[in-house]
Amino acid sequence: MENLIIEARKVAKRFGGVAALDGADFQCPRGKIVGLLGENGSGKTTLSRILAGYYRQSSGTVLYRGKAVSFASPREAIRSGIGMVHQNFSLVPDMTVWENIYLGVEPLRRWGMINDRQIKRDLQLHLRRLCPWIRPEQKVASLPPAGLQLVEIVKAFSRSPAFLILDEPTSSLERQQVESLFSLMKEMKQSGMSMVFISHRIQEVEQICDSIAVLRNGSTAGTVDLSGGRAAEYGTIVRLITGNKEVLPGAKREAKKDRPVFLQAWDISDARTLHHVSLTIHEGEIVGLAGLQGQGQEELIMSLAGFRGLTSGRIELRSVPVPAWSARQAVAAGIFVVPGNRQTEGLFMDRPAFFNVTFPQATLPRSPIIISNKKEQEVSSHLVADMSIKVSSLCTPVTSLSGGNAQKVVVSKWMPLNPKLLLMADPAKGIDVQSKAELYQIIVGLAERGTSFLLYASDLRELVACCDRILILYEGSIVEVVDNVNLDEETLLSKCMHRRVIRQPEPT
Amino acid sequence: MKPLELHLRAFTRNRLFMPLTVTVALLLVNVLFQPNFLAPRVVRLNILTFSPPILVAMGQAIIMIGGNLDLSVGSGVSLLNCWVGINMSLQAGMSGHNALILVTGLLMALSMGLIDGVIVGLFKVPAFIATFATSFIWLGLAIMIAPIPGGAVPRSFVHFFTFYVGPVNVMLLIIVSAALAWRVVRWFRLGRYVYAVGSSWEASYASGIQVSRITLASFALGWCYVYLGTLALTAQTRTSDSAVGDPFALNSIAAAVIGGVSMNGGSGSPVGALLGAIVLSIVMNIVYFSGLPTSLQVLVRGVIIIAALGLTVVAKDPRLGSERG
Repeated sequence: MENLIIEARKVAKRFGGVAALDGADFQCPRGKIVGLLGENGSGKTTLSRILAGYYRQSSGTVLYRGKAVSFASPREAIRSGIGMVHQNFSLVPDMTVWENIYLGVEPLRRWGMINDRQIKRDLQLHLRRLCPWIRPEQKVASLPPAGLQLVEIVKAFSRSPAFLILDEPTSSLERQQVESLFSLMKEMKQSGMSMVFISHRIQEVEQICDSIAVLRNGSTAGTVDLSGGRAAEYGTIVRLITGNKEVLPGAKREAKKDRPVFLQAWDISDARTLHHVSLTIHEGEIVGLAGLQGQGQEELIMSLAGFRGLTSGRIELRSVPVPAWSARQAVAAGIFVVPGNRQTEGLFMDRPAFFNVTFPQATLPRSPIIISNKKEQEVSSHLVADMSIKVSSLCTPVTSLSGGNAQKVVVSKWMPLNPKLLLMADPAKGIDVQSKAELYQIIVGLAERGTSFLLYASDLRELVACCDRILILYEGSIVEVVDNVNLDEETLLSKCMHRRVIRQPEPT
Repeated sequence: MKPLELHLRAFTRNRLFMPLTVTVALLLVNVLFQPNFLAPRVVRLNILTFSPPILVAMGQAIIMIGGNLDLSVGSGVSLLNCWVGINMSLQAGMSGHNALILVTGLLMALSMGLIDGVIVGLFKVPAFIATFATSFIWLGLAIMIAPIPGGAVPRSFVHFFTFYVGPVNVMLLIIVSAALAWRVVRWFRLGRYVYAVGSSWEASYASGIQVSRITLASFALGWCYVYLGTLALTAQTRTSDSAVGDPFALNSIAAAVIGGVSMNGGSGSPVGALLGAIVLSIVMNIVYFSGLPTSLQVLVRGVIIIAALGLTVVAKDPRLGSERG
């Protein structure tokens, strides 16, 4: 193909030892909109950040307008006409809307002074299109999430780039706003702008894009041309996203009936994300939390752990209501968190494994004042053996462990406290298949012995493999409870997109 | 709603409202305790003694708006004071030699700002640690130049700073122009980018701003104010002393915070720091003239500063009301 605005060939990016992108190919023709799809962690954001000059690729080539490029900074990419709508926004909170939209590209008048008058005049034009309700004088910090997203979009489009990456621009927008974004995109496409559209909503991608590229595990799983019939491609796309991966070995187990209830939450809400969530967790049950990214999974876990204040609802332990739920009570009841970010929240990275493993015991009210190193090592060597953690020595700092082993350390540190319920936020994120399987075997083993689990995993396969029931979260509410019987990943994925089925536009 | 009411409401929402209120209130208390506070001689003296901390605090404010802080301004003041005080010739008046000393002093101030800026902005060392370290370098150099306090500055230098143009004191003019200068800088991209970088480093980088350059520039600009402050101080002490700058580092940061400059960067203004510095100086005055036993004065000073901080910092916390309304 001759007429490509940008092309990535065998692009790879490694962070430390982890490959975020592993030989991905990507092409965007001039004046077209290409959809970029993939599961969480499949490398979509990494790829777009390489194209926009944030990262330099570890290997492979990027061709822009037919020439090999390697941008040293976003500034260089912006200067050659590449724009990006950032997923986590590129807005300065303390500044006004108009200052933000023109940040870095202010029009100037004599002596290099900023021409604020021109900015405010031009701005009205841009804002009116997508968000007439936003006042230019407003501080960005005072905008709601949808407003931030729209300002971020206006900012990117107002620079009229030749090539624009939109990284999940629709995740916080309402239907109406998505429609006006799409009409703007179509108009820009007419005037020659090329775009990459990243989204989790397949229907949206089908609606606006000319073709689709799917990433899986950091490399290109396939492309789909949408110029023909579009609706028929849905199944193909889902299969490309999930892949035909083997089921996790040895994790599936027999469902048991009539287990006593351990924890029940009634109608809990927090200030922002969660709305009237009710759930029941039985003893020895593994309950999964599924949903698209950012539907309140982490918030629910942190709320049940008592780290986030609840504005309404109540929590019952073994059918006894607990007033004023707090982290202290959660720990006293044997409820512990295995946090999503093990580097910052779950581990003391510079300290040896034995320190990490025995730390929770050392913080107990009745722990001895002086802790003998020898005894600590003794206790931890048992744990390390039980959990089959591979360490060269108990004294090596956790930083030197692989992701999988580090995660096992996070889980194992709660074992001596005899946990009743473990709240896990994506425990298998970024660890290899082997350790993943071992980790889930440990989880299932613990469940057999009566420990309950609330498990959030971004990889739906993991949930299908080991959960008894799966709760589907959508915009902070549980919209469906699925019994894990004859469930497959594709069905689950469709359920996660609950209510996101967009009516196809009427044929004209 | 009446226009006047609207204006009033806008004024009370202004970031400078609380600092200004606190300043005026403390001024009134000061008049109460020190009846001759408004006598021309006392006013002149106060302007001279308040000016150095005001100018240094304004410089610190610019660095803090850019998202950093500079602990080395104190010993920077000492070093510049020693350089000027030891090297200026008494007899020559405003000769070429003395002009050269003043210009090299400015270059020294700029280089100190640039060195701090490079370490912080380019090598990404946290400003707190980096400038703590460089403060010893400036202090060491100051001690090398002036091992014992001494030296003197020509009368004409002192006269310049205490000169009156009609009814207006030159020192006052300098402070007003220093405040206006920042206003002017904000008309240009540099001024806006200092706020942007201070508020969100990542967003500025994503918008194509050369973040390290802006950090460098904010330090250099801040140190110009520090240099002006040092000259004012030298005109007041008329000598050089390598210990003279000691209180400036923390005082300037406190003044900026009282004046509404955020410790997280990206908001506030040097004018706020100006008010904050006046507050800190007046608190000293009040405590001195209050008739409290000397042994209690330091303690009471601390309590008043905490109260001032409470009023200004709490008032701008969105969780506690006003600011973002």
